[in-house]
Amino acid sequence: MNIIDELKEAFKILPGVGNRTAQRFTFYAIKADKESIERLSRLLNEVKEKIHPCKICGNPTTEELCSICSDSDRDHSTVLIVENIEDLYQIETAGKYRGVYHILGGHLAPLENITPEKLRIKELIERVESSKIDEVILALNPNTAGEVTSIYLYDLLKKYKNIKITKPSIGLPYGSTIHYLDNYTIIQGINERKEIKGY
Amino acid sequence: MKILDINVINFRNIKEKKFEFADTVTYVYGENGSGKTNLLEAIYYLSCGKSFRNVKDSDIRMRETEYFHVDGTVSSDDTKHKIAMGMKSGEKKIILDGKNIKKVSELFGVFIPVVFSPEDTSVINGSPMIRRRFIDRMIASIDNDYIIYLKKYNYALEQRNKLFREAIDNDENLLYAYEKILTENGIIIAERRRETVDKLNEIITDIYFRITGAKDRIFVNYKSEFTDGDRDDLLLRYRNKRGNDKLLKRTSFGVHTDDIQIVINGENSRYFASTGEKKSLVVALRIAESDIYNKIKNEYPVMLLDDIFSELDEKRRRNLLKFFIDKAQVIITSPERYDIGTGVAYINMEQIDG
Ligand SMILES: Nc1ncnc2c1ncn2[C@@H]1O[C@H](COP(=O)(O)OP(=O)(O)O)[C@@H](O)[C@H]1O
Ligand SMILES: [Mg+2]
Ligand SMILES: [Zn+2]
Repeated sequence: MNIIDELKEAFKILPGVGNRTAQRFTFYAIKADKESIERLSRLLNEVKEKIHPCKICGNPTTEELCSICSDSDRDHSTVLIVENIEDLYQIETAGKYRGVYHILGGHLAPLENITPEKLRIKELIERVESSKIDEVILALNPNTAGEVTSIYLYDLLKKYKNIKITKPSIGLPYGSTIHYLDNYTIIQGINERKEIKGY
Repeated sequence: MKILDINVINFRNIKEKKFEFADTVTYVYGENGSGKTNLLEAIYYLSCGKSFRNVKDSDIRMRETEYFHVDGTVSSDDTKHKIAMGMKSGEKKIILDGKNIKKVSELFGVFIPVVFSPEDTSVINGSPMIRRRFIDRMIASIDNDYIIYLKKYNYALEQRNKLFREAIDNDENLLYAYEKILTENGIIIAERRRETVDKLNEIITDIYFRITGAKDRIFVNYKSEFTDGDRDDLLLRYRNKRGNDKLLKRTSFGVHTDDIQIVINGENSRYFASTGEKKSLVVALRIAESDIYNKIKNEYPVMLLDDIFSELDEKRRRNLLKFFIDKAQVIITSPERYDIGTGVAYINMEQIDG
């Protein structure tokens, strides 16, 4: 493979980029001035070097802790569990939630080789044991994989008797995901959350 | 429920042709191999994007062509819908009233045909899976949520099976999470199947008598491990089966092992009924299905009667037609043209370029 083909293939790893777009990107890279290409490759490098998951919640950050975990105005005793960064961003955009997060990195699905050790579940248990947490909100996606993951987490967490385990109370359509929901639905769902008394 | 017309392109031996159907009876004739069953298959395909013959889309596409397409107008309660469906370079396209649809399941309930093909006795002779599918399709056509319960159940089943298949079944919490989903949805599935089998039993013996004139007692026997025991019992039974499932490398307990036996005079028809009895039973089951649909939806599905005339004698034919004439739209196929009354539209399949 020559360098042009190789670059084209490399562009195809980007979401939504197929053959044609990858080709356009490649030709652009050939024609573009040196500075803009250098800037792009420097930033791509830095993003990999400097951005890492927040020590506590898993949210990408350049610091040790993300801006949410280091914000003393937020309620650190309420932890909302989401599958992905996209879900966290969607809830933050909706704006009303004042607790903190825990990003799992997906949902359980053995068929896709996603078993418990592939998710940030161990980190969650350590967090629950080492800090003062009053409430865990299981805000997984409203589909069967999310339901399975919620049941699994509930069973792990229920032995911590002073933690209230809740879930958003929304009549979400089966199969939807949080990052496609509108702000109103998200805020209402979190505000009117329900305690899980057993699965 | 009615189908007004269908436009068929490259569907098996039908190259390109528009068919129109009468409100009451459409009679499709032509020698064997002329494409009568193919036309019924195209009509059925429009309802759900699948063949009733259990084949792949690539078998349906006319040999040496690149794509196939069907579109048609259907109506229910005087509301018309246009459905279009096609397959080009491995990609399926479904359009309902001008809008693209992602999954065939979104089409469910728009158009419901019932196929009678006495030649196909697989619902009696085939595996329990075929009988579960028969009953499930019946339930799904009257209960919109049923598909969701089935999907959740099957999802959990496949995930749990994977744990045993790969011997990664050591996490009890994870097994439990899947067993919860299986139990919760399995209970609903078993309940619906039970109710539907009960409804079948209310009418099936009488229907059988009305086609055959024979005083046989027909009974549909729902066999399920899920019928007794409450939620906690069932959960416990999954737990107790874990050792067994580990050896089998799959889930051995649940509604996916259900069977629906068709019993005639106390004997399982699969083993004891004659070929003629099996054919009559298949027809009786389809009539019962249509009847149950009508009781709930207040209209009959579209009846697709494939070559029943050569299978049944004169008396049974007339008895069968009596069930539906003036109630449902009927599309009949037969190798020979018989005059069967007024208001009937005739389609000669031999005049179609193949
Ligand atoms: N994919 C296909 N492409 C072309 N012809 C096909 C295809 N599948 C089946 N056929 C043809 O269709 C004919 C059978 O049609 P069918 O509808 O079963 O006839 P009948 O009128 O007896 O019901 C056969 O001649 C067969 O070769
Ligand atoms: Mg035929
Ligand atoms: Zn953080």
